[in-house]
Amino acid sequence: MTRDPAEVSGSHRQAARERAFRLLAITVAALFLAFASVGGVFVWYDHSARLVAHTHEVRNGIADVLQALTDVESAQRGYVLTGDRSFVERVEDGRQRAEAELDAVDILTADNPEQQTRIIALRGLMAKRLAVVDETMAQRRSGDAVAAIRTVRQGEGVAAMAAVRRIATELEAEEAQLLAQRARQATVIRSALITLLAGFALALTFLFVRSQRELSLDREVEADTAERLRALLADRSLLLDEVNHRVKNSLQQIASVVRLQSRSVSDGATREALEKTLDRIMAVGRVHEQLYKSGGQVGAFDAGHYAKALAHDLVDSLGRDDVQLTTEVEAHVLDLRQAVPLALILNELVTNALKYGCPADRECRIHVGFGTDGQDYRLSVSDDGVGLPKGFTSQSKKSLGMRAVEALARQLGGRLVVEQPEAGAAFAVIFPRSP
Amino acid sequence: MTMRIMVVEDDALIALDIVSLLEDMGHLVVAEAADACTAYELAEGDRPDVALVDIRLAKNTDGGKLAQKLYDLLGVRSLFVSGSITEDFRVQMAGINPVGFLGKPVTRRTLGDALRGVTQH
Repeated sequence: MTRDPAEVSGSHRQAARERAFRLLAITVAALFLAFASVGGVFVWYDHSARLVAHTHEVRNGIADVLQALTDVESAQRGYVLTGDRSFVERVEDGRQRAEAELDAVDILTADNPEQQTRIIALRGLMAKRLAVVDETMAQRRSGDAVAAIRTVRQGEGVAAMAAVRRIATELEAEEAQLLAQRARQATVIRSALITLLAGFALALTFLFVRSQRELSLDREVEADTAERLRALLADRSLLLDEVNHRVKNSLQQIASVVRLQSRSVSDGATREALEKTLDRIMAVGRVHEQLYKSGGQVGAFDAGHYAKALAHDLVDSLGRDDVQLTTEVEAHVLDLRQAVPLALILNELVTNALKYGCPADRECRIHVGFGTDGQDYRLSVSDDGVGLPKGFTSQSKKSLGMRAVEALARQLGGRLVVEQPEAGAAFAVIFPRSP
Repeated sequence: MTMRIMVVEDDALIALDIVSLLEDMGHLVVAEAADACTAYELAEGDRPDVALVDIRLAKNTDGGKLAQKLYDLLGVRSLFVSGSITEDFRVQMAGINPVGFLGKPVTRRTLGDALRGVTQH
């Protein structure tokens, strides 16, 4: 079984288009995923960067505690040596700073139990060191500088301070380790983030290139389809032209034979019959002409236009200058099956009007109308000539012409109406709009 | 006005019919041919006023080309009578000043009207 090439390329095209749409959907989904993952990783990275900053704060806090305590020791020594009261203020200031800084470090390391244990120990040792300082200061204040120096020599304060330094070093070491660990983690996360971004960029590039390729394939297929359709259309136009030519030629052959025959007979009645036959052939020929007129829409039969043209042709062909033809037609495109019967009916009615309604010796008017009548179409032909014999009905006169009109009206699903005008004759064929 | 006319038509009965119609109208048919070559030879000798030319002729010859030659070499104008007159064909033939394009089937009246074009142009 051969398939229509347009159909084949159409299905290729459909497939290419579906692939392109799928790729697009994947690309969009990948974009969403990329944003979500990058966002997640970024939040993680931000967190670990904050942890690094936190560790720095803790380390600074410890250093500040030590510094404050060292300041206290210096001021104490100054006081013992000079008795200058300004050193008392500096001792107080150092003590407050040391305690405040230690509290801050305590809060900062609340999540680390090991550091908390160290801070409790540090706090105890710091209190001890400060107690020795207080004792020394009190002895010096009471004027007993020797006792104060003795207390210093006992070395309790120095020992406490050494322990403070040791613990501070431990705290510091722990934080340094944490810092290294957290900095490493932050680096890893940063690398992961960069890798992820690069990966997504690559994937997106790949998807973009793929979808571009699919789309260009789609365009190629489309161009191909259009080309095939043009070729098919050209073939069909050629075929239609050929059929049209043959139909017209065949009609011409038939018309020529009938005309030659009518020319060769001497009997008037026979000649008239042949001329009528010729008219009927020509009426069909005109329908064909209108249907296949080049440039027009093939197969569109405008009944109004046809009725007008045929009536004029028939009147002109008889050379009757004394006949006044009036037409009142609406343009209606009829189904093809209605065209030929309607043409033949019109031919008979107009021929009859010319022959019986308007004999050669008198002037007359013929009116042709075509239009809608409710749900029906109405074709009417009337003349103001001698009129029908009294008591005429369509049944009463069995000429071939009238019998043909009745039969054709029935073929259209309609009926012939013989009207009774005051002067002349009037016929109408009424038939439904849809066949 | 009586004209000297050549009829080029490959269908014998159609040719006979057209010749009769022309003679009824009072014209003189000086030559009849079914193909382009014969038609041209006859036209060279008889020099008709006008040629009635079917487009598809016997021996697979082309009425359009014949008309072109008749006009270019002999100055004879053509009236095309055919069942297949396309818009393209009308455009192609515009240069040789044709008398007209007449679709089949031909009636006495359409033929007479078309020939009236000879005197008008």
